Amino acid sequence: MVRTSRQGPELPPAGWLERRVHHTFRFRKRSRTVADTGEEAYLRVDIPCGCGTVCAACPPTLPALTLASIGGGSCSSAESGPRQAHLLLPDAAALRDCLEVLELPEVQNVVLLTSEVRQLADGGGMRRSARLRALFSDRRRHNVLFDNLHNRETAPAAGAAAAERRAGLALLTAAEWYHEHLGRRFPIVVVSDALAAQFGVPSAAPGSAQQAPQQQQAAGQQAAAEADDAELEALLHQMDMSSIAGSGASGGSGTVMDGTAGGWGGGGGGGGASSGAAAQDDAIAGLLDSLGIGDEPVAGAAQQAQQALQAQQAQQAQQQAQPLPVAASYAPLDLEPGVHILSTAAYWGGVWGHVPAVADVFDSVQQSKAQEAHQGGGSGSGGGGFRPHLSHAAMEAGLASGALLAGTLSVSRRVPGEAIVAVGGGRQLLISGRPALNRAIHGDRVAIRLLPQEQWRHAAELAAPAAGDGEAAVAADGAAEAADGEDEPRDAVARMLAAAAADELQPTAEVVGILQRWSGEIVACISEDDERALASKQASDRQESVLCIPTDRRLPKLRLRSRQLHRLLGQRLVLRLDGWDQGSHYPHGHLVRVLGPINSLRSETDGVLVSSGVHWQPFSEGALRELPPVASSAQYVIPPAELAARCDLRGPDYLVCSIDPPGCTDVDDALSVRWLDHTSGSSGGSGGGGSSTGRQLVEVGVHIADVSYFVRQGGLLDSEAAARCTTVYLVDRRLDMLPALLSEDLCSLRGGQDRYAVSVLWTLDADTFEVQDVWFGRTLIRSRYQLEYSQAQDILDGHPPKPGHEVAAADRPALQRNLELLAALAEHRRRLRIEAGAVELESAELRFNTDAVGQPTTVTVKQEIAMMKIVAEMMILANAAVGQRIYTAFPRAALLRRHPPPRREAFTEVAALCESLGRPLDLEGSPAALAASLAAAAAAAPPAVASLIKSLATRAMSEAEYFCTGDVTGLRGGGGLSHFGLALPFYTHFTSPIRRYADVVVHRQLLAAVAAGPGLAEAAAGLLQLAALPAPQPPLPGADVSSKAAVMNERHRTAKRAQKDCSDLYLLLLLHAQPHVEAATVYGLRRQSLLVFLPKYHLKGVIHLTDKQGVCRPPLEQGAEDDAADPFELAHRRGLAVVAEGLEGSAEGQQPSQLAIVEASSGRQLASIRPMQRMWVRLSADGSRVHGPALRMRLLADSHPEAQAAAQKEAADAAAAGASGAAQATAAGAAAAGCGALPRPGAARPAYRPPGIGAAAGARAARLELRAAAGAPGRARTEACGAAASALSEQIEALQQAVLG
Amino acid sequence: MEYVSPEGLRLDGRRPKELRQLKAELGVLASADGSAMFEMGNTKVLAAVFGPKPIENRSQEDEKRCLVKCEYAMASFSTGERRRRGKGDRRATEITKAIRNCLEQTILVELMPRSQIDVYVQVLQADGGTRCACINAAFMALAAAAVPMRDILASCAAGYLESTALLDLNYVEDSGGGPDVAVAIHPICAAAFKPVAPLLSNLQDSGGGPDVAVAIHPNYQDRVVLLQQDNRVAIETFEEVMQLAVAGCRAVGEFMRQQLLEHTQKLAAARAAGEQQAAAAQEDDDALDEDDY
Repeated sequence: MVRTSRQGPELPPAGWLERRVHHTFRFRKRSRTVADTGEEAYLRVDIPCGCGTVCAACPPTLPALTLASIGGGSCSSAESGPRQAHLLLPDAAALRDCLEVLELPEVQNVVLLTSEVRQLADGGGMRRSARLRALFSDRRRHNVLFDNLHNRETAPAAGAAAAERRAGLALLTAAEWYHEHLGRRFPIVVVSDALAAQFGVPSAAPGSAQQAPQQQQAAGQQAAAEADDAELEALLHQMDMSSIAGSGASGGSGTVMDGTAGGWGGGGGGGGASSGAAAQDDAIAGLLDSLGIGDEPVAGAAQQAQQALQAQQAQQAQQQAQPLPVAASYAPLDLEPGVHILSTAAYWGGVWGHVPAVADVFDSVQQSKAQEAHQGGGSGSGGGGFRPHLSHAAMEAGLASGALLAGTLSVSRRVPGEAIVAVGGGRQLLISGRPALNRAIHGDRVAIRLLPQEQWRHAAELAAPAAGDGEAAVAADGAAEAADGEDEPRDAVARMLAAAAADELQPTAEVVGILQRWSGEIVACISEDDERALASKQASDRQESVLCIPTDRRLPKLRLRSRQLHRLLGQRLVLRLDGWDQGSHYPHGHLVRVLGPINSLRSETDGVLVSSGVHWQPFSEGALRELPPVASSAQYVIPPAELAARCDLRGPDYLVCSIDPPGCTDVDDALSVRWLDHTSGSSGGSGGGGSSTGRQLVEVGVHIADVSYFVRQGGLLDSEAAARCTTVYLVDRRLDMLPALLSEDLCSLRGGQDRYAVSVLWTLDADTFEVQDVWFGRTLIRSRYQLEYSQAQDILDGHPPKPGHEVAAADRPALQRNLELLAALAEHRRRLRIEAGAVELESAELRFNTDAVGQPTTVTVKQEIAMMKIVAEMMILANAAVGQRIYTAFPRAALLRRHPPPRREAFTEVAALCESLGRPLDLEGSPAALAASLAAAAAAAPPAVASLIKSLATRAMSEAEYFCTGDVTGLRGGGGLSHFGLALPFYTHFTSPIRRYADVVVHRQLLAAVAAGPGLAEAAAGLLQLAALPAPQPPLPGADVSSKAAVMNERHRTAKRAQKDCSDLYLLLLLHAQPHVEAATVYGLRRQSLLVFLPKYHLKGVIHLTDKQGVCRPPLEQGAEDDAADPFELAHRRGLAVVAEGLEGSAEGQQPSQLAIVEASSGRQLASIRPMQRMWVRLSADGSRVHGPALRMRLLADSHPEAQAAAQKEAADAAAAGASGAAQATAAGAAAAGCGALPRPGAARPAYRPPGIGAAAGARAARLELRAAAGAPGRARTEACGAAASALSEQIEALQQAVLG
Repeated sequence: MEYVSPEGLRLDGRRPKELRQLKAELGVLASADGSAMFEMGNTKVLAAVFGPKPIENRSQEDEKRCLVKCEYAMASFSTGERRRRGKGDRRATEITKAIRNCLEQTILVELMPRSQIDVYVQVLQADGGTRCACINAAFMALAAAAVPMRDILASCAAGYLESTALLDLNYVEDSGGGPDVAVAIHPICAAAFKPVAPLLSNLQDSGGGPDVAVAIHPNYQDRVVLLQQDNRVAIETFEEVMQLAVAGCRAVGEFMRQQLLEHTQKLAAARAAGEQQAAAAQEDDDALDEDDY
């Protein structure tokens, strides 16, 4: 037969020699059945033993054992610790229980057998598998994985039952093989509790013999829990046991078994006590001898162990009244002399007793195991195990009698099982643990019962988690859940609480019933395990249930049952909680809708909206029908009746302009200035100012879009707007309150178009700014120019306009004059307010540039332009005037906005900070004094700290709120009507009716007031007349206003939260794609952590110097991230300690003066951190599938390459700033000269702007872009994948065509 | 679950490029014209061929070619969970068609006009790769029935798990979610390369992973007879997996050739022995006759 030339590779000859088939069982988790299958094993002789140079027969492997170095048997050298000169073969139970010990770098030469590793892998646990893998794949550990199941010499015999393979025979066979294979030169230690018990070697010194079966049982239980099916485990166990008993009875296996029938676990202890002890001592002593470390101290340790053992055995013998009947039946094991079988305790305690690190870890592992077993026994009734809730009647009775308390549950983000309920009187009760929470979830209104005082916890031990609470959220919004002030604790409860306060105890409580379930929607996704199980199955119509994990860490996992789960794989879901049965671990819920794939920007932003409670649907048809029937404003004709009713301000002397951010489409305010003749009166009202001649009068107007004209009260459109309440601005979209026709066109005060407006016109003295008259009313305006902030600023400063920003040359001088007047007026008003105690607050507004897909590419902080403050001040002026006007008109129904003075307690953080700066806050005096001292402190501090102070003060402030004046009786709440932050007696929202519903209401009230009654000036002029006039009718009754105000407050809060969450999300996404280093200021120290502030993003956060295990995390010296899995680094970090200095007095709330990281062994100080220190912090974000990205801050040492790079860049920027400042000045001069018109000597003003901003921003942008181009791994990869996929389909098509054609 | 250990061993002890143990036995059924038992590891398939014979249903008669009928079934005890599997389910129909398609391309159908060949394939034990084992078994049975064929028909699957191309997946590996390419080839045919339409379908195997099935005629420069794939694969990966599957097909083809040779030799030996015996018997008879006389 002719062979043609072959293309493609030929197969290598098969290397296996023999095939064996074993009968095994496979458990199907989904169908919960056990199926029997045949498992093949191909046996071979080419499996390397991994012993490196010792073994000549096997090819060298990469992770290799290090037996060679001690081949001579001499004692190893000192500094690297004792070398271990034997091979260690742990069994599955030892692997599972002592994984932590095996992970220590000291432990080497471990041979992990596939038979044992696979037993563990069956039990599941991804993390444990990864750790196991690290054991044998890390080269530095010198451990190997040996596939004993497929080595011809060690494989179990064909037809051997699974039980036999499980019973450790495989382990022994492998041990003997190793001993033989390595020429009987090295001792082999098999560590196995089961084998030790089975072969009569009693369990070790400290633990009694009975401990072994107990442990075994506990281990078995644990395994069962992992396999999630106790019955199966029991079944398999039973199979194992019966077969062992059988083989033991028949004696077929050739090894000597313990004579007792239940030889699996229990028999060995009592049976072979004395001889067993001797055997074990021999074993250990022999082993130590062979290790060459049998010197004095170790021998001593062994001696001790032996003594302890003997004492114990004597005790045992006494306890067992009978003499030892079976001692004779015990025969020494027929094993190779170099193979030792030891129990875990005997091995780690006996052989490693002299290495404290190993012994310590082993002890702690044992302890936690024992504790677990104990706890498991205590509460182990499975299922939910919750107590029933009280009936409603019982709860009401309890609440009425004061035996129960009520409050809203808020679960801690950091500690999952802990929650706080704020009850009256500012007390917070702690609810700890799932049983105490008793099926209540975050946000529920619950009835709670105080626990007896013995179960209260010390406040001190709680301090740590409470302090770290801010880490999870980006600068967690300090909207502290206000205490529900209605249920004052009474009598006994109050006394107990008072006692608690005195004793520094944190009272704890338990939930006894749920008064009202939280009814929000939950954003979640299917848990990864369930998703994997689902994906591996075929789509079916069977109803199945999965566990869903909410994005919000505070909410519990939910069980979701559905027939269409396959559709939900990898999707963000919106769920609603249905209930929580007493017997089940998790609550159950149902699917509301699917948002979209996980990690897509759109669905994550939608998720933010859902979880912050913003509802958005398209406008209803009925609402849209109420709009004017036009497509755009071009078709809209102003009806003559309106023309007649409105004051026409379209004349040439009204120079109306709007000033807004670039790209603004919903312009709702415009400004105008009209210079009046000396003699003329004001245009609109009575001629009050006419008498004062010789003074320059000016009319300043604020014109607000007349939304209430289009949105009639009581209509569908009105109710839609009321339901939305506010426009929500997200990074990628805007959720409008009004349809686009109104918000972007008909109402928007665009340049050059006739628009309806509601105007406030002040007639002022141009020099003293004394108000002569105020006029309110509906007007018709035509905005001359739609200016941008920077454009207006340029005009004000007399700078040449930027391209695209030109205005008619004729108007320029007039505009400039007007703007100058406005600037002066704003400055005047602002000074007045500051004197009255206004507080200047600050918060960063981040802006994101996004690419085509919507991924954020860069972030910028909004630049502050002086013009913004001017416009804002004018709006405040208008709001205040309107607020006063409607209050005088409707003292019982006006919608105002107030800002209560802050609570003093909220200021402790700021106060401490300011005190450390040497500018203590005036917390005792009036609000004005507080504001003044705050301003003084901020002024004295360096810029970064100043912005920190302002930011902290912002957080300390109470929230401003809408309210109906009729609700305020007396001065409850201390706030009255006034606005603390702005220092105004009356304030309302009037100037943004396009995007806020409150303004629409205020517009209506104002217009009603103007139509009905005399103005403020008139009222002041004739008090007598006022009484005679009929009281005006408010457009809405007071009760309606107050209910609307409540809704508005709620909606505003949710909108703000959504905006912030969205902005955080984008920031984190950006940091996830481009981690980078920023300067941060330390503003507070705790015992183990520090609080830092990043001026660039106005970001506050906690950096913990220890991780969750309490291991120190020093500033990063080099490398990307510390690797928790790396045992060598871990060992280094374990040796470090965080020392808090200046805590000697340890008074409550006192901060340490310095934190130092000290090497415990040498006392060398690695790093020290003081308050106000500037540090480099690397910002990044962890992508978590379930919870979305989370901020990670890592302290960098100054020597870290990235920190150095950042410092260099900063220095370079600073240098460039000087140069570019000069360059800019000359450029500006040249430009001015080129224009030929040098408006004023103020052209040298550039210096007043922070110089170098442009250069720095450019450099930063370029750097980010470069990094994005270089890095961008995720997207690039998906693109590559997409390309590959399309190439594949093309190729297949081509193949098909070639084949068909 | 780790499919390939750090030392490069698969769960059952094979290396990535090793086939499972192959076993073939011809003439296992007395009633069939040709029969074969084919084993790939734990996968065990019985095939029986009846024909060529006059066509049963005259309406299906073809003047030019013979009709190949095929029936595939899985024994209810073939998998761990004993479940009755109907013949008409989607998967069975699809595999039936794949097998028939391969056989039609392999049998010299033009030589036997107006006749019919029935092929029955029964999976006795399933442990991954049943499709390929069925094709191989059917081919062996056809050969045992002495049906004229173009070439050996060899089939084998390969997959890709943990960034390693694996040959001849067993059930556990097949369920691992990786791609799985099944190929059938004509390993020996050296005539002019004439591609045969491969059957491309996106079927779901037990696992969720891609699955490519290929059959080739090795003699026509590895003419590909069948190529099936489950799940999506990157194109580079596909090349690698495909190459491996084809190499596996060639090895399987070689094995089958050996088996056929041995079988033929055994037959020849048996016939020679039979003839001798017959001759001896004749002689005996003659002797008897002579004695009689």
